Amino acid sequence: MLTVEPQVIEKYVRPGRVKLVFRDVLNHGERTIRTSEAAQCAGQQGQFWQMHELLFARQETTERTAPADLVPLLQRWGAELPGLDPASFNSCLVERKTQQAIQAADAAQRRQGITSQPIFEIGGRRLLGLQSLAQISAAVDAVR
Amino acid sequence: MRGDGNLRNLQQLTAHYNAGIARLKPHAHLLLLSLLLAAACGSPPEPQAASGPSSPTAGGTPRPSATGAVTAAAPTGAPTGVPTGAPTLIPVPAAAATPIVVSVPPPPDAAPAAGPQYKGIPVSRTQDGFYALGAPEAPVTITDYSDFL
Repeated sequence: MLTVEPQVIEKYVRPGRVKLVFRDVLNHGERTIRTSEAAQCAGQQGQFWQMHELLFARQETTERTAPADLVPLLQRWGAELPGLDPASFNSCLVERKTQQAIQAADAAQRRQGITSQPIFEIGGRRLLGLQSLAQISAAVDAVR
Repeated sequence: MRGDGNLRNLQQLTAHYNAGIARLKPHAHLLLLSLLLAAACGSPPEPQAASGPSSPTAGGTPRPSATGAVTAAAPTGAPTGVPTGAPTLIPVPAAAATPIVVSVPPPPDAAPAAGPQYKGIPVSRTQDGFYALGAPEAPVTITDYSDFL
């Protein structure tokens, strides 16, 4: 979704034709869970999608960062988001206030066959793997 | 008579001494070599840099030891099976002897912080707490199962 998300947003979401839901899949250890927690912690202050965009844009840096250094890295990134209260965000990360909910949701998804990523569900159809804008458009148009 | 006896004793002692020296003469160079080696091995170690054992020496090249052999640095306390006084010359290839230290600074966070692409779009949450972007009553829902890697 990374590459086509801006186009999907402009073509379908902004005009009110599509609602886009992001759900975490925890397949890559500490980096996955920590970044998911960061997005949820930012979401508690109304900035989930801003952090979502930032995390996608900087995923190469995340992959290069040692797990032990992830929290300081994510704290620095949180401080870059305008309007995000760093103290609340940092305590949310350090105290792992969102970890349990994310892991419980992942476990529930796995029972429904969501064991890899990305997977897109559009109108009851599941599309596995990266999708082009044309493929997503076709799935959306098939629902309407 | 007493004086003659003393003289004979002295002559016998001198003869013994000369015979002893004669026996030792063929080995004199070995004795000298052993003394020199003992002195060389027993010399105090050269002062080391204040940095830890992993730090390369100045120039990054191990320095020759007092015996003239170039030896790789061994960890302190490492057992050595070589008896004292029997130095072993260990040739070290130049490439192996020169450590290559590459320092890569952490890359800057090239991507800018979040842009305005979500501005003005409603945000809501699913029943189990996940975030949704777009009108809650939108006719189609795309659920993206993914991660940030």
